[in-house]
Amino acid sequence: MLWDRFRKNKTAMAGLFTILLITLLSLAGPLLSPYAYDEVDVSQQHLPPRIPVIEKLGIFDGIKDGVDHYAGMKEVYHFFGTDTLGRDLWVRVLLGTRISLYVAILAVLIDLSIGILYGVTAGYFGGAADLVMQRILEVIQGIPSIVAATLFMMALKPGLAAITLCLVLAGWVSISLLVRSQVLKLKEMEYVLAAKTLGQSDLSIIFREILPNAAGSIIVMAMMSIPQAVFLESTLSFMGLGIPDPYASLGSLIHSGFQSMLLYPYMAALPVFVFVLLVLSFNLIADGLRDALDDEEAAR
Amino acid sequence: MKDKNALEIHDLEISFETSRGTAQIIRRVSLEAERGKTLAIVGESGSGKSVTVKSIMALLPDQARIEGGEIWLQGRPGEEEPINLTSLSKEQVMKTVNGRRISMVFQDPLSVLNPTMKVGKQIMEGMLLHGDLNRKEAKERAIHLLDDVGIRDSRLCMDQYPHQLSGGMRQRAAIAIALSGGADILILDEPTTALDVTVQKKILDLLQRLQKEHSLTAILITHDLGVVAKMADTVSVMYAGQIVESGTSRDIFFHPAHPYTWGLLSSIPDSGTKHLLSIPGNPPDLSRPIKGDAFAPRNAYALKEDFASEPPLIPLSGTHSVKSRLYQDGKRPDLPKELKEKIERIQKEASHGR
Amino acid sequence: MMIAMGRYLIKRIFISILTLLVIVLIMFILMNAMPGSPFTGKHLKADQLLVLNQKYGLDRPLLERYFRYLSCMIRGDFGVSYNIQKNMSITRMLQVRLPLTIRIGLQAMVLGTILGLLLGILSALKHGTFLDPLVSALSMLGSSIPSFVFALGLMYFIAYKAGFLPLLYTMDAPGESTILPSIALAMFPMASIARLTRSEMISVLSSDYILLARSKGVPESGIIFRHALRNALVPVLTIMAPMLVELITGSMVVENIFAVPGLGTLFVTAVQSNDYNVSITIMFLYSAFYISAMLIVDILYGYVDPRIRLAKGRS
Repeated sequence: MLWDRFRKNKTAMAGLFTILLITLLSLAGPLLSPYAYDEVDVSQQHLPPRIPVIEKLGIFDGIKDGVDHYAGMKEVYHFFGTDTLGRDLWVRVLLGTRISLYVAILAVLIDLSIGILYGVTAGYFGGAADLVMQRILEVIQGIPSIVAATLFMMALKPGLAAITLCLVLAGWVSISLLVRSQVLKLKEMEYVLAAKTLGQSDLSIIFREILPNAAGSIIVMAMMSIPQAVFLESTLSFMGLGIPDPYASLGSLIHSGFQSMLLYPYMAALPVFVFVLLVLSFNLIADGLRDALDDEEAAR
Repeated sequence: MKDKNALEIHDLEISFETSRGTAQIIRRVSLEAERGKTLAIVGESGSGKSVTVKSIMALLPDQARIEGGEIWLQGRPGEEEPINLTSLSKEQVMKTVNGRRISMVFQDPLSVLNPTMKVGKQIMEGMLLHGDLNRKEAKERAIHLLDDVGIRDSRLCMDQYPHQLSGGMRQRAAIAIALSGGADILILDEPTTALDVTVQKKILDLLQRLQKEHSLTAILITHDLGVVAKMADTVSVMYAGQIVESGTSRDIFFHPAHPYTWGLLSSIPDSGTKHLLSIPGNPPDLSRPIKGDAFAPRNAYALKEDFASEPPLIPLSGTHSVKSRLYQDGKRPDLPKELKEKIERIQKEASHGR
Repeated sequence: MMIAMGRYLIKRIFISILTLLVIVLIMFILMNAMPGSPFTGKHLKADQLLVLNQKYGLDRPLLERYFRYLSCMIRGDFGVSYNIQKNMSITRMLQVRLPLTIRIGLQAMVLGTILGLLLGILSALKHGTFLDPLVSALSMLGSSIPSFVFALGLMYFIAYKAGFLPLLYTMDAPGESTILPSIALAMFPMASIARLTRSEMISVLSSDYILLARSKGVPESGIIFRHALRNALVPVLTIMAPMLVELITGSMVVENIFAVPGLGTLFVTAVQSNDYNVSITIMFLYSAFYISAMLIVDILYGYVDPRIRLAKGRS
């Protein structure tokens, strides 16, 4: 069905494989390196990337501006180089990827739960509750998400929980609105009306008739929300409101890379590369899912 | 081309580039539309009737290509020589033919009017493009046209948007647009199919009146034989990109010759029909090469040779011709019994009605 | 019709103002619930704190402070900064920064919109040639790259390596200094507008009313600009408001990267130094921008699509 249509979309499948690959690497990658994410080594500051085997091709060989920065360190390999404190960037980028992914996906999952609860309450039961809830949403929509997120980041102690909460705050409204409009639409469908006349309870109608039929567009929306959450997280991190050191997210890595970018461009370039790859893949998947869903609806 | 004709099509061939290869959509189609008369092209959807008329106005999509044949447009009386439209570029057709000589009324008045443009502006657009009217004159003429197509409050209608009009009103406005450029040939692509039954008759009456008043030549595309009976002078029956039978309205309705036409006529409901007959099977897939007669697989009267090669076009009279081997060597087979009774019944009812 | 539209407008403006008031109230309450006051970390004794609190009116009840704040704000007085520039009037602080931020934002919006529309139209018209997938791929990439990454790239390659345009904002060349930040911010709107315009143009160009226009003999330029574009723009307008949020978000970081003394830089500083008044003021301004933009989009929407105009006029 949806998956069969999705599978035929080559770019979307490429996106899916990239995400799986990045996720796997971010989980297993640190094992491939002898360094820890918070291992400071002042003797190995600002080392450019060096990867075994590939170094023979003349790239990632630890040589920058004609100088071999690894001179005297024969068996030392920092795949992505090191930062200003001499920490291994490969390990830190993978840790950052893991945290960025974790935070974004967790936030979207929470968004989904709130969205479904809200959307069903407002859309299915309607009436005065819907009216009040819609007015509240209208007001909340007037606050740009970054402003709301910043406000809460200031009020809370920085950390994983705080940043997740901020992302939830920025993302739940659009998902709630989508679920509500889907519920409103499906509520009038004949099979739902039929179920009602047969005396099915509201709860069973919601879970057996409405939500399964709304699932497609909710999933697409959720997939589109993940890159947005990754975006926002990185922006907050860039403003210094993100994950505190020695932890890292892609945003905070790009931020610290930026500060020494003119001298050591690889420090910003590598996390940027992973970041763009990640967001691009999510966007490709979301696009592919949406097209598959459109086709599915057209075929019906 | 013949002087009495406004438009002639000779051996037109059109192919479509599809994802599954090249499809021969139109296969050697010839048509004649007599000046001031109505030619109806009848056939199931997918028979190629719409593609044929769109090719006249260079409205085919990009993946379509005219492979051969000629489309001759008569010059205006005493003014110009006939022109072969297939020898013109798309831009030339747009500029010199569309709207000025030939215009079109489409099937769905809901989607055919631009939703963000006022009705008046859409009518005036054609006049300002082609005529030498100024804005004020064009506006007066547009109001006059709206009156002419039977819109009561024409001045108000000028300033309205399409969604503010009813379906029938929209089709009237679309007809006004078709008349706005001063065209003398009107192509009617299923002009009443999307309308309510009560509105259908009014629109047909309007079209007949306008045709007489403006001495227009009409080319009517439809699958509704009721509309054909009311409007057409001559009829061409199309199947799988070919004309299988053509003749006067009388020929086709009272002396149908091709088994496909028989099928079409048998499937119209009338007072005495006990059960409606529909033609079994589906039209062929044109993206594959067709061997023999395209209709043979659905044809109860098909001969062995029909599966091997195409039947020839056989003239039955000066006006009537049919593409079927049943009429070879001067043979004249009888109509199926049930259809014969139906035609007699209809004839009787028609003479009673008069 | 005009009267109905006018009534709708008044209603919309009223709701917008109400929303803004509620937002200020929420911000006000939240800011008061925050840990730390403007005077934490200054090793003040309790009595000194009391004096300071009294001086700035921080000892009054919350609601009273809110209404006082509101009435001042209506007069254009946003109070003074506590920490960044002590006792400096915020209105004065904004005098240079606000125009700068608006200028960069407008430049980015105009650039992004024009380029996005052009690219979208072009690739829709060249549907089926190599140009179309190229534009699609570029716009997909463009909407996957945040503006700060563009900013870093432009800074490194254009300003640092190639030596064009100032690396950081400089008072000596204020105009030129805004170019790179504007470009960095324009990329995201450009990509999203190009994407949406392309798909909308393709579906509009295959619609029946375009066929009718062609059957009238309308030349290709008229088809595109008079008939197709306006209809394709309707859905494009709907993404304008979310795009403004992206722009605001982006400007906070991009201004910091290029050291532009604008609203975004000030906001980050204010947030980091617990400067209540400045933070609230800037959040208020951002929300006000956003709400007015939504209002304008709504009006434009009605202007472009008569169906919406009439439906709203009636309700």
